[in-house]
Amino acid sequence: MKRIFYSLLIPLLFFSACKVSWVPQYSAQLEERIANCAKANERLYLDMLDADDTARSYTHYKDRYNDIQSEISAIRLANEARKNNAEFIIINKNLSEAFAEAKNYHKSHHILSNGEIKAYQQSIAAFWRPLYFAEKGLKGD
Amino acid sequence: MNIDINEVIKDMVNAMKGSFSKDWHLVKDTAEVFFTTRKERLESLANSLLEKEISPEFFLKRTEDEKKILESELAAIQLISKAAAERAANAAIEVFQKAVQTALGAII
Repeated sequence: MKRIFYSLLIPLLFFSACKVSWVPQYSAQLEERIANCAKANERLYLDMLDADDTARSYTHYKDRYNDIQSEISAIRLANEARKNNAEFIIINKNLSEAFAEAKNYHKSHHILSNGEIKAYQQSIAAFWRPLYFAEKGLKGD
Repeated sequence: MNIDINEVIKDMVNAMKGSFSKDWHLVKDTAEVFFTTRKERLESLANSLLEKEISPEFFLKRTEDEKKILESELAAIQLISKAAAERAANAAIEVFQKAVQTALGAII
């Protein structure tokens, strides 16, 4: 019995790629895109904080908002195409929705106060953080 | 063919332990970062409300965000844990494959 078992098992192990796959494969390109977009997002809010009221209106930042939003969509699309992507779908969705809300708030209120800018800076960064750490976590140590 | 299956299993378990102990700090450190940054964020938000830099309605919206942030953080920790488990499992499988290949090599 043992002989039959081993004679079946060995070729199977030998010829099959016997690895488990529970998470997506790490992507250095995606990690870089996430880091760069998070940086652009942070820079958006830092520049707003430095600006006075006359330079804080939504129209001043419209293009930058749209650049960041389209890159968030592109990252989300890349994650949707990956295998074993359930967690990334959740993280990307939350980030997309949070950023859209922040952009629309600024658009409807025209100008943001210091407090509002700081709050958005911190909360949006908090939505980026799990995405970045998750990607890095795929790489391991 | 001579495979000491007990020895192989022992080696597999050690391979898993070794792999997982390297990765455990990754899970722990990530959770700590999330916790620390949440604390800082909530303190800042509370101060902004007290200083009247933000309205109570805006404050409530940002605290609502915290639910979604937590959801994302838990998803990230789940993914990092799964990745660590995957590496540990594959390390064990590799040990088994090598043992079988070695035994095969001894026969041929």
